[in-house]
Amino acid sequence: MPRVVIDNQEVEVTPGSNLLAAARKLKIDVPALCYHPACTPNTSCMACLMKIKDTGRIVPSCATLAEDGMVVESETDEIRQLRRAALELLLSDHAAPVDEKADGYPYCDCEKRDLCRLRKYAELYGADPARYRGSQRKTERTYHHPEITYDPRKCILCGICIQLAQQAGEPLGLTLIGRGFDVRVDVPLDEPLEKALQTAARRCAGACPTGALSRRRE
Amino acid sequence: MWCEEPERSSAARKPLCWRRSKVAALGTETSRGTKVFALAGKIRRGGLIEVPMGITIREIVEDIGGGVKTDQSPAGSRCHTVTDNLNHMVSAGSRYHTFKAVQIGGPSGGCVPAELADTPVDYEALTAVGAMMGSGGLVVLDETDCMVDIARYFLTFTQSQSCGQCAPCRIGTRRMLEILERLCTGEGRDDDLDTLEHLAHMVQGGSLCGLGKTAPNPVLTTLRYFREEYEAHLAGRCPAGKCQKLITYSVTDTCTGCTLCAQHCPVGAIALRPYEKHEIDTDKCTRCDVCRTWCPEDAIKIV
Ligand code: SF4
Ligand code: SF4
Ligand code: SF4
Ligand code: SF4
Ligand code: FES
Repeated sequence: MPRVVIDNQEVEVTPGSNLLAAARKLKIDVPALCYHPACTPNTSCMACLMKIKDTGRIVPSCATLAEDGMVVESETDEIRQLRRAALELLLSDHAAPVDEKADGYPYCDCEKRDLCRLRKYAELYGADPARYRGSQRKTERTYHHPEITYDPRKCILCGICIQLAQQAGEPLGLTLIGRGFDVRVDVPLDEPLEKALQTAARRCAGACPTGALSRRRE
Repeated sequence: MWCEEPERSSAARKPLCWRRSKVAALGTETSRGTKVFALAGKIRRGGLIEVPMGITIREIVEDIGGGVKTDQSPAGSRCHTVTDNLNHMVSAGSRYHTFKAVQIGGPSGGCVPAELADTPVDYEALTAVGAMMGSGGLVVLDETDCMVDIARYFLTFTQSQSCGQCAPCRIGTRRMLEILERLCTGEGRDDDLDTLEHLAHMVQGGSLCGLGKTAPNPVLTTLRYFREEYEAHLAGRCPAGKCQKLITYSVTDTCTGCTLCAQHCPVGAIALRPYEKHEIDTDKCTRCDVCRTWCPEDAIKIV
């Protein structure tokens, strides 16, 4: 069984575990937004970063195998600063209104705000949604689905819904369209959302780390 | 190739075994052999060059490239086109420029200032000054190049190449570019320099792949060596006279009234006044630089 040291605490993990799992075993709460146990690592949010001490490399912990003898830093100023920057950058292109902090922090108008992991870690890390405020992604389409709602302006492009839809055998599913700053999660060929998520809709909405995909209330 | 071989053919064309023996003997302890650069920018002799590792930047610019380019005013090389009654003789106007910096390593490389031109070109020394060998681009810059504009230029390229997978690069390079664009148009905010520098470190440290990790290099090196230029932009000035929104063209007293500028201004911002000092209507002027390149008296200044 591989043993790794994270922030001076040693922990034994099952072979094949990643550093994120090792940290969770030590009750370290890492903001792993784009990780989902049923999916291959998306390495998209980069909020789960850790530092491998002997090489000095900073890696996404969700995609790094815990190898025997590894010495890792997690809750250091350097790493927490990088994680906060990743969260702040995500919030800088996010539909939540930032000026009003009336209802918690950041101000959120989502049904799902108590489950939203972006909101949770933004709060824990003291991430300022206004720090890097700038231009916003363009979103032209609106989406209708009997079971769920999709607001692309709250999507952090984690890729979880894409993988889950694929696993569920959705014939159409979701995909990333565009590249760079303007990449978005969308239905291929401009088809309606209803057609894309015929069986996986509720599962995707449950797994979505933000309020982008959420279940409709009955 | 630049080495002691008597015949002047390139090492690249020699058989491999010859290359191995000769080329491996070149270079430094840790950076062996030679490196090919695309020498470009404000340089007299640009083109592809193959140099031994360890050669200094100054040797490349001065010995191989022949130094910084001198530009000829068009008035000096073309014939005079003023009306007959203007019997003004035009002297060939050469403008000499000074070596300011080199951008080494392509769009993800760094800017090395002229003061550090004795830096040897090897992996360690270049990394130490914030640049890299990278794709082998070597762009020579002179005093008319604005370092904020250069950073903006290179980041525009890398930002457009971001695949969008990870947040620090996808959003971070865009935010950095937005700040640089603000600075170049005189809309910078007080905290922009600190935000830019911090963000550059965050993108460098937090991105997933080499593109995001190196994209901030031009920004970080220009901030490191030319911070006063950034501060000038924040105050609404472009010291190099490059950023169009931050400059105005005006005619100084050395104007002899030759009318060349007025004849060539594409938007008619200069009234034709033979033998009198000319004036530029700054509202009409689009800062195209045409008048300045035509003026044989070097009377048109950017402020
Ligand atoms: S997605 Fe999360 S962070 Fe964004 S507005 Fe909704 S609850 Fe808030
Ligand atoms: S909709 Fe939700 S699950 Fe899908 S990519 Fe966006 S944030 Fe991730
Ligand atoms: S750092 Fe690499 S993976 Fe991340 S967005 Fe940029 S190009 Fe894509
Ligand atoms: S810079 Fe161009 S537009 Fe302005 S006065 Fe000179 S020639 Fe005319
Ligand atoms: S959870 Fe590891 S990169 Fe997002």
